[in-house]
Amino acid sequence: MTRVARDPSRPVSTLELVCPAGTPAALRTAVDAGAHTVYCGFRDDTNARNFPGLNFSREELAEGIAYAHDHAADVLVAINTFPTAGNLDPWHRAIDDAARLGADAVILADIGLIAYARDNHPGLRRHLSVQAAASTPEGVNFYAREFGIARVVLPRVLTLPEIKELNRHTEVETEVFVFGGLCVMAEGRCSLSSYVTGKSPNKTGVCSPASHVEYVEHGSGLDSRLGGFTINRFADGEPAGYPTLCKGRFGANDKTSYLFEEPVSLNLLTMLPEVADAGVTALKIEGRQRGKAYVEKVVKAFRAAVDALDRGETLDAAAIDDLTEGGRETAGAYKRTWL
Amino acid sequence: MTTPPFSPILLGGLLMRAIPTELIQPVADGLARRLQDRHPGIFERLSPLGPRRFLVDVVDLPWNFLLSVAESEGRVEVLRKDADEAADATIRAPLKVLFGLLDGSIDGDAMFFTRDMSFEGDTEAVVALRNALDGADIDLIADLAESLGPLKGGATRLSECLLAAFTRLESDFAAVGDSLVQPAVRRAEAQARRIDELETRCAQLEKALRRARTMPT
Repeated sequence: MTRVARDPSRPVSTLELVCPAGTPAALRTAVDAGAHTVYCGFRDDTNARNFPGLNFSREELAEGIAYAHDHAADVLVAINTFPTAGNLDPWHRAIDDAARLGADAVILADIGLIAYARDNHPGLRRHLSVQAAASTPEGVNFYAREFGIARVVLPRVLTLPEIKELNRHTEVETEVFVFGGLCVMAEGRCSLSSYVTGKSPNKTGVCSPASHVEYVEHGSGLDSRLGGFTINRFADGEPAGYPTLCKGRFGANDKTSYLFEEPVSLNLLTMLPEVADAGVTALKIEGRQRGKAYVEKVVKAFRAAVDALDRGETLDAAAIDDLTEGGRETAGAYKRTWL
Repeated sequence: MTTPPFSPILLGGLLMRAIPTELIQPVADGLARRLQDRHPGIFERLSPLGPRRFLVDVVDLPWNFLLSVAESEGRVEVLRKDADEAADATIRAPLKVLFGLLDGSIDGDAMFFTRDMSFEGDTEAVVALRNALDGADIDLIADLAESLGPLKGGATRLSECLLAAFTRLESDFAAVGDSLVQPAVRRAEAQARRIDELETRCAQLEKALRRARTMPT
């Protein structure tokens, strides 16, 4: 399995910056801003960011891959939802087309699809999606041994010491999320959104689908609703957020609070030396559903940080606070302080 | 609710209130045609939703704009603020934010999170519109200049001069606005600090009360 476009001038030690693209314009923006690699998906149920108006047609992906390769960047295609029995065709076609169009790797979660890719496109690099929730060396090594997985995207619930320990026991490359929306659930298994909306993020590719989201202004602020349930209430002037059930404010024990997770964004910009020390290969920026302005700003900030790290320089926190959900950020589980 | 910022656009909007919508409509028509010709992908991305009407409330201008999309085509109708038109979704933002969303220089999510823009109605349609516009690589000035044919060069230079002048004017307005609201901001900040202290104190008292209640007698 070879990487077609990898920039030969890039130092081997450099952390690979894997950046989101929801549209061809965002892909070009990410590449121009310094992404080593861009990940994207087809405009259907096969990828886990199946938002309206987003994603790539086959023609757009072909053009995007050509643009990225011309600029020595790689393109990964996320086919990371779980097909339903009897309806495998869209997922098989997605893998076939990603291979035909020259994608540098596919990001897969379903074990059957990984086997399909291994058997039908052995030369196509296979990454294990975070949706597969593989979080132990045993699990990761099983996927490598049986299915030739080259890289695993780790769940956002591991601490840096745990990631370091995992890397000590596997040859598989690891990719970790460093910026963007924070999912604290067992990814690929969470059914909270399905419960409220009747639509499964893991099968149709969208958590808290926009078709079930409502924002209602009232005298004292703004309510966000999902599937008819009020998930959060924001006072006038208070930063708002998207109504995912795990980031709602609920009443319990006479108190209203964020029971699962606050609407904060992950930001490991200043922790990159520790991430590198943990043996990580690639840094993933979340946000295929975000716009070009977000992509440009975050990718530039992280690329500057990766380059500074290569030069042995101290990292400065860039001004990307305004792009975080709820205007707040966290180091998440990587720097777990609650246990 | 999105309130208009204190800016040259707000002042200009107040001065333009007397202009009839019929005079603005041809500009809107021209822009809609340019968008359709140069960026058909916008309407293609929106077409799976079926026909949709978006009411765009430019909070610092005296008009609203009704964008109707159907079968990969779109048109824009200029309306008075008090016109009663049904729409699937209403988007409210200052003109500068809307221009930034059109050309992709502003992140729509960030604007919404910080409440610099707001919307109500069909969220799926608004998300699709945002994604379609963001994916289109729109350059409004180039698109408008292009529609002027041989006057394109002059129009581009004029727009650059106007933009530079606007930036200077905006900075002046910001300075005037700051000087006017600073005393009120300082008072509000002091009150917010006091409220924070009281909330902390309240939480401590509630905690102590809960402990006292659960202590064995």
